[in-house]
This record gives sequence, structure tokens and C-alpha cells, in this order.
Amino acid sequence: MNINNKKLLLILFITSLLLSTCGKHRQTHVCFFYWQQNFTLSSKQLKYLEKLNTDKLYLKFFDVDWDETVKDAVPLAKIHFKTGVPADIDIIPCVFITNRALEKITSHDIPLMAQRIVTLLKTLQNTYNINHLSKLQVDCDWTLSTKQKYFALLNQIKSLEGQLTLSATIRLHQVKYSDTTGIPPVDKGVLMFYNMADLDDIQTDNSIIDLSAGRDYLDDLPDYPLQIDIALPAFSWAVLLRFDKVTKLIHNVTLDMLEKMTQFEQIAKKRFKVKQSCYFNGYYLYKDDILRYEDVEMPVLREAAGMLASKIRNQDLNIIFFHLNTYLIEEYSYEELESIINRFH
Amino acid sequence: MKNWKVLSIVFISYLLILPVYNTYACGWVDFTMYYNLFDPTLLLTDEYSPLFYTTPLYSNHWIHGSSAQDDNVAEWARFLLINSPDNNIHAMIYDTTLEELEAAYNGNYRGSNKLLHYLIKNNRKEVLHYILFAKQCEKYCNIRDYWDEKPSDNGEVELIELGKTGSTESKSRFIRLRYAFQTVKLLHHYDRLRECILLYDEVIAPSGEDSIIKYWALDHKAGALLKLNKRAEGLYLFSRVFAACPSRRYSSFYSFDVATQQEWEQCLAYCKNNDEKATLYFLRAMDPSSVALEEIKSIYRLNPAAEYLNLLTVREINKLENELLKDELKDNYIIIRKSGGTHNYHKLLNYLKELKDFVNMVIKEKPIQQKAFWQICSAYLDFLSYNLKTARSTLNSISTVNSSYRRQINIIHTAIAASGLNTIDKKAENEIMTMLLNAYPENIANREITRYVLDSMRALYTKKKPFTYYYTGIYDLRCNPDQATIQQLFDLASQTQHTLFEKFLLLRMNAYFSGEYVFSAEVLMNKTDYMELKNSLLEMKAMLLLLADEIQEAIAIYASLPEKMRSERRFIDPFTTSIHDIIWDDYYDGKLISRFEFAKKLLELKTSIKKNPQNAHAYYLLGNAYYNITYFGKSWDLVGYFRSGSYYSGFTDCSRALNYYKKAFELSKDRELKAECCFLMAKCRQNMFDLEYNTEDYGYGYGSDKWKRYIRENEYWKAEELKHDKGYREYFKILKGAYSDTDYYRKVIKGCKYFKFYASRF
Repeated sequence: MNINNKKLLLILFITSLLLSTCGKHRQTHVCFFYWQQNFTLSSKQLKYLEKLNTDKLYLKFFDVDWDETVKDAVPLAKIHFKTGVPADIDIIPCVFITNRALEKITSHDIPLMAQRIVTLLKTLQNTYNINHLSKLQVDCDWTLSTKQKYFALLNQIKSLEGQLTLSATIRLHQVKYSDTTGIPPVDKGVLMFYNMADLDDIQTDNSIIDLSAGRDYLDDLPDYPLQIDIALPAFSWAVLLRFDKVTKLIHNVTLDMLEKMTQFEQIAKKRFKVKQSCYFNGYYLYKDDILRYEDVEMPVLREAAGMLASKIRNQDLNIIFFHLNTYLIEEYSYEELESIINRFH
Repeated sequence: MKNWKVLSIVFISYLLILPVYNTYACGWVDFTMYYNLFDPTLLLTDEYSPLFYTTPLYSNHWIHGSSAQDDNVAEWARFLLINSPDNNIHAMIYDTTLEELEAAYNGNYRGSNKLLHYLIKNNRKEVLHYILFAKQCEKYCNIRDYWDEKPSDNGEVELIELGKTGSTESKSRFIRLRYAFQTVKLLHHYDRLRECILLYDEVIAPSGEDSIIKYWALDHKAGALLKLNKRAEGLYLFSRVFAACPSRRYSSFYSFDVATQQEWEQCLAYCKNNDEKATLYFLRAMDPSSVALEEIKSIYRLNPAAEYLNLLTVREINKLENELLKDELKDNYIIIRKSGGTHNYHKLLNYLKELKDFVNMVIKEKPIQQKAFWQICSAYLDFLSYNLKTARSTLNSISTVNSSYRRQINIIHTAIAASGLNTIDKKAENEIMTMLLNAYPENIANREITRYVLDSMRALYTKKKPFTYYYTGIYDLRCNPDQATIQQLFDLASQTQHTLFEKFLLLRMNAYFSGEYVFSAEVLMNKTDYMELKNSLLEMKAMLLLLADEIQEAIAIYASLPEKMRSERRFIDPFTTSIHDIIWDDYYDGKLISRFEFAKKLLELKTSIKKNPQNAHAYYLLGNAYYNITYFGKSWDLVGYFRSGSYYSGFTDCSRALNYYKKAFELSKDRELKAECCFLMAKCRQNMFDLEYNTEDYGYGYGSDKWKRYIRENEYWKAEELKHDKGYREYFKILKGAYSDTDYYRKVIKGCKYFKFYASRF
């Protein structure tokens, strides 16, 4: 065998070695969104986080929405810490900005909005003694008409806090149509792999997760020019249909709760009809209302993980479950969540 | 327990990103997609107008009104024994600064508020001290900037102590109450909740003072109870505030959110009488997505005379109207029934029937002088369900002298008539217009019923009449003018006899020019000329003739128009040219020209070419004119009234300009002019490229945004290469190859980035 052939063989050998090991050593971190205004962790939740070696919590610090009475963007639902945060868990503050707020403010107001967001974050962090501002996630489902302002806002936040690691949530359609929707000027993206079917369509069975719909959006994911973490759904809700139209979303609902209501009649696998007007989970429901229960079953979540694992390039991956509350730890054992994480290895 | 509420805020915001829909679920709508013919302002008093279904959510007197301040000022005036309206009280309470009040308390106030001077002079220390105290409290309680957190300097601690002292030791009962209110507010804001409640119970509740302040304080007590998880009591108290205190209705209304059956029953148990219970049902029914017939019936059982019943019934009817009377006609139940189509409104119609049965039951039970309101409701419900005959019969049986009710009756009659029309003729036109004028004799403009009548009739007209523009107005005709329609309208306007309907439509179009938008019965009967409309139609006709190169005919029409119309509107001179095409040039200070002058100049140039076919300059000027009147030029509005920012509208053909420039180029012996013509031809070709490839570069402003966008997106080279490859840069090639020694070349390579790029690349 001459020297060139040997070289070729060596190259082939090394290449195959690399290919065979590619993807096997992906680092994964189990994380959670915490989306409630009053922050408190029960001992059960703490244990749960411990078992999963959770090292990050994405905490919503506040929302920003437009207030028509004062004609300004205002912060809402500011976080209130009722208990402390475990020392070994990194808190990443999140700010949810409504598209409406971006539509209503002018481009001139962007620097002020950025300043206000950063100042309020720091105030809240100081008040509650949370680690200093080194990371921030912004959550906003921007549209074409608000893209420019939103991206300007992100740039402005970055310029105010140069050392900040800034991430932004990315919806599926923003991956698929990134040519028009644009790429947010952030360090990282978090792909929200949920809310993918048409909530308003009364024929929809599950608007939270529909893998046949979700699949269509993933082809462009490997080429998305940002490092991407994954957000997976671990929640449920009941969609209230009244006169054949979606009226409300009722949260923190389990199938068991619906089945136990004597005022309800189960009319399909996950559909219930109100036989007698009553209160349910904070809402007054009227006779003949329909409740469509939607949740995320483990097999679906596993399949989702499998679909995503092959599309993600990120070798140090945060998998963030939406969202940490009583329902999640009751419905999903930590072993089950571990099995989801393993799909990404 | 509150977690679901927080999530609701988050996920309702998710709903905000969905396309907005007017479903039965929505309460107030901020825009209409339906015909609102059932008018709460005609049927109800103003007291609860912010809760009308049709009141814009964020624009009502509970939010923007001054009733809270006015009520407070009125109490101060009574306390200080000031009889006349006195702005000084308002200014003293709401506008004076902390520094000024400190100075006033210390006796060295130098400002202009007469009341402060009076109080100082009369040694009303107690009053001055309280006003100062209240102003000091504002820093801790009154939200000025939602982005600020509450001060954490513990300043509220001392103020609370001062307030407690003032609420027990002040000489005046009026002042004691106010100290107590400010203190209750502070205690609530700083989560000293039990103290807040105690202070209210011990000082405010037993106070003999008749004051709205007690309710303002009760509002805070209710909030404190909620925070302490004594929800039923808190919610009950919010309902009391709502019922008794208009200036706190907004806050108490939004605070009322019963969450469980147990809470509801506990709230009811707190109620002392049926009226209080009725308020609870009313507040529950006010949820925007409620199916409020249930609450209406409950309230009726408690108190058949409750005012809430009328408001809730009108709301339910408006909700049904929103769903059934869509202005998207394919979804309009009346239109569907009329055409024999199918629909999905069965559930809604069942509900409508239940509501109607209730209304009819009430009619039977009411004494005759109170029936009219309910009869109107019943008639309208029949109308909505397409029982037109029954509706009409009910309306005819109503006996009332209430003029607002009569108007509503006339509106419904008109709607019934319009819905029942199957063919249209002059008699029908006059009849329907008479009914419309009966409903609004003072002015039928901008009325929902007018819109309904016009839309109902539109479907019945054939293409004989130019109704597109009748309905949408002259503006749309100006955006898309065509000779046939212009002539039809002109002929119609020139007739000596018109039906009332024709008159109305002609007047509406004429109003665009005359500014007279009152269409009263008197105007419709008496006004007979439409000169402004006719002249504008002639001007449009002339414009189209110009574009069709029938210049002499155009000139004849312009000459026939009034002098003011011929010469008043002036436009940027199209016979000059520039490197950059600037649309909407606010800084232009050059020559202006009228349409008439333009037409004459065009004719003059064309005539000169006929006489002297070698006149290169004349061709050059014609090239400039025909370029600048295109969509791409600075004088586009010489031949148009509308230029779109989102598509290539109007006159876009650059080939005429191109041909004139070509002739100028060929004939001219002046190298500078030749160089310029090359460039101008290249501009024409670039525009042709944009049209062909639909580049959507609708460039505005200075230097055009086209180039800026290219550079920003780093894609300019792709577009430029394509232009070159497709042969659109032939004149750049000539300019570069043969005229690089000219002054014009030097000017254009500096001024035009397209050419600069071309010259460096190809």
C-alpha cells in the first residue's frame, strides 16, 4: 500500500471515529420555567429539583403590557419572593413583553423601555437578594410589524448591560419563516415547542402539542443561526367553548378534576359539557358550555424529544420545562422527565 | 390559590396575539364588525354607560372622567362654606406642590392660590396641616410611574402615626375622616392589613360624616380583606362600593372576582337585602363572556324593578346583534335567511328565543307605563331572528312619548324595511329614505342605520348605476378613475329630478369637496345642485384625457372649470429633472405648475416637435414630463390623486419617457445632454425592472430608501447583478463607455450609488 493510500485510510478512520462519537457527549441541563407571581418552593418541589439535578430556574420577573388608561407600557405581575431560592440553582430572570406593547410604543420610546426593564430587574434583584444581572431572557411573540422595535429593544438592553447573556424565546413559525420574521439579536434562543395548533378551531383536539403540525416547522432548525435551547410543555388547561367559540383558558386543571365534577358530563375522551351552571377553578361556567381538556402525555413528549434531538446542534443544551408548579410534579415523575432528557443524549 | 390568576394574566396575553375576533365571548369591542342598531344610549341612562356593550373599553368616564375629583372638591366646598364654583380648591388639593404647602403651613406662601392665602389669613392650621399631610402621603400611595417601586425609606411609618393621631384628635369631624382615609390607604399599600381594617372599623365606619371618602376607604378595606384571604367579605364590600360610589366603580368592578361556589354563597350571606344580592348577580353578569340571562332572571326574582335588568338585557341583545348582524354579509344572519342559505347560529338562536321569552314574560307583568322599553327589546329580538312581521307589529303597538325610545323604534322600523326589500325602484328608494330621515331628521350621516340601509340596498342594484362609488365615496373613484363611471356620475348629477336616495348619495359625494356633511331632511329636500362634484368629475375626466394623449380635449375641459379650481392646486414642475427621485418633497421650493398649465405646455412642446422634429431639447422636456408624472416621479399627482406606499399604483409606464429621451439622445449634439439622457433612460429602465420583478421598492423620501435597504440587508449586489444580467443596464454601459469625460458623468457618479456601483463592478 503506497503512502497516499495510507493517508487516505487514516483520514477515513479518523473521520468515522469522529462521526461515531458525534452527538454522544451532549451536555444536558434540566431546567424549569417558573411563571407564577408569588415565588415559593415547597419541600416536594425542592426534592424534585434536586433529583433532576436542576441547576437553572427561569423565573418570570414581570410582564410588560400596554395600559390604555395611562397610554404607556407598564410592568405587571411583578414577582414576589415568599421563599428563598436554593443556593445551587441559577436564577435567570424572564420578562414577558406583549406584542401589543411593542405595537403601541414608538421607536423613540425604545431606549426608555429598555432602561426601565433593566432598572426594574435590578431593583427586584436587590430587593430579594438574587444574584446580580448576568443573564436575562426576553419572551415576546413578535410579528413583522413589531420586529424592528423588538430587535431595537433587545439591542438597547444589550448596550445597557454589556456583560449580559441575553436570550429570547423563539416560536416555531419564527424558525420556519426566519427570512421574514428575522433573527433576534441575542446570544441564544429558546425554542418553544408548544402552542402549535389552532386554539380557536373547535375541531382542534390539542392546541398545546400536535406533532404532525410541529414536525413541519423543524426542517429549518439545524440551520437556524442561533444557539438554541429547548422549551417543552408540561402543563394542561381546559379550553372553554361557549356557543362554539373559544372563550377562556382555565389553567391548573387535571382530567381527574373534570371527571369529578358532578355538574359536568363527559361527552368525549377529553371533552365535557356543563349540565348545570357552576363555578369551576375560578370561573363561572354556564349550562351547555363545553370544556376541551388539553395536556401533554408522556409518549407525545418522548416523541417530541426524539424529533428535536436530531435537529439541535447545541452540545450544551438546556431543556426547560414549562412550567414548575404542583401540577407538573404530580403528573410527571422525575424518572419520566429524566427519560425525556435522555432522548437528547 | 392566586397562582391561577397570575397564569391567567400570562395566558390571556397569549390570546392577545391571536387574531382579534368578535365572539359572543367578548364584552366591549373597540371596533365594530357588525351593525349596532340597538343603541344603549337611547334606551338607558348615563349612570352605567361605561358598562354598555358598545362603550369603548378604555374610553369612558369612569377612567377618564373627573367625577372623583369633582365629588371631593364639592365636599371641601361644603366644608369650607364656599358657595361658588371655585377652582382654587381643586388646585389646592391636586396641583399645589409639597413645597408650596409646606410654605403655606409655615405662613410664608407666595403662590397665587387664593384659598391657601385665605386659610393662612384665617389661621386654619388644622386644614393646612391635613392638606400638607395628604400631599406627603402621595409619595407612598399614588402611583405616578408604574415602573417605580414603592419607596422603601420607611417614611410611611411616621406618616401612619401622624394619620392615626389626626384621625382621632382633630377637632373637625370632616378632617378626622380624611386623616383616617389617608391612613387606611397607607396601611393597605404597606400591607399592614389588620391595622387597615381596624382603623376603618373603629374610625371611619362609625363616623357620622356623609362622605364619599367612606367608600374610598371601604374600597381599601375590601382589598385588605382579600389579601388576608377573607375573600367573601372583601368581595361583598367591593360590591357595596360599586353600588354606592360612582367614583370608585372602576376599581371595585375589576376587583370583584368570585372564584368558587362557596365564596359566592358566602358573599350572598353577607347581603342585607335583595338589592345587595341583585348587585352581586349584576357584577357576575358583567363578565364579558357571560350568558347573562341566568343572572337577569335571578335579579328579576329578587327585585323586578331593579335598574340592572335593563342594562343587562340591552347588553345581551347587543351581544346577539354582534354575532348575528355582521357587516361581513356572508356571515349576516338576516342576509343568510333572506337568501335561504345555511348557518351555524342555532345555539345562539336558541338563546335568543329564551331571552325573548323572558322579555315577553316581563311585558305581561309590567304596568303599562313601563312596558315600552321591554316591547322595544322584544321587537328587536324578533328582528334579529328574522321575524320581521312580528317585530313590526310589536313596534306599532308601542305607546310612548319618550323621544329616545321613539327614535329607537324608528331605527328598528327602518331596519325591518331595509331587510325586507327584495327589489328596488324609485318608490322604494324614496320610502326607505323617508324612514331613515324620520329616525334622524337632523342628520343621517355616520349613523349605523344609514350604513345598514346603504348596504342592504347595494345588493339589490344592478350594474346600471355606478354604485361602487356611491357607497365608498369619491375617494375610491379618484384612486381608480375610469371614464365610463365618471360620465355616468356626471350625467346623474346633471339630471333635474332625483329620488331622495340619489340625492343623498350625490350629496355625500359632493360633501367631499364642499365640506358640508350635514344630511338633514331639510337639506335633502332643498339642495339641488352638485357643482363641486360635477367640476371634480370633469377634472378627473381631463386628467384621464391627458394620459390618453388627448391633450386638446383636456385643455378644453380645464378651460371650462372655475378659475379658482384651475389655478389653486399647484404641483412640482415636471419639466425639470434630478438624479434622485424624491416623492413627497416637503422642502421643495422650486417652480409650481397647475394641471391646466401643464396641459398647455405639453401641447406647446408637441406642437413644436411637429414643426421642428430635430428639437432635441423639446424631446428632453417631454421625457422629463412623462417620467415625472409616473408613479416614480415627483409630479405623479399631476395626473393622479392617490399613490400607494404598498404597491405600484396609478400611471407606471416609463416607456413614453424612455422614447422621448431616446429621441433627445439621438438628436442632440450636446454631449452633456446626451450623458444626461443616458442616465435618465437608465432610470426608466430601472423602474421597468422594479415593475417586472416586483421588487416592492416603493422608495420614499430623500435619496430613496431602496439603496439604504440594500445596504442594510447586504443584498444590493444581488439585485444589481440581476439588473445587469437581464439587460436593464444598457444605458449605464453607454454612459460609462462614452461619456465619462463629461461634467454630468462626474456629477452622477458622485450622486447616484446605483451608477457608482455599476461603474465599479461592470
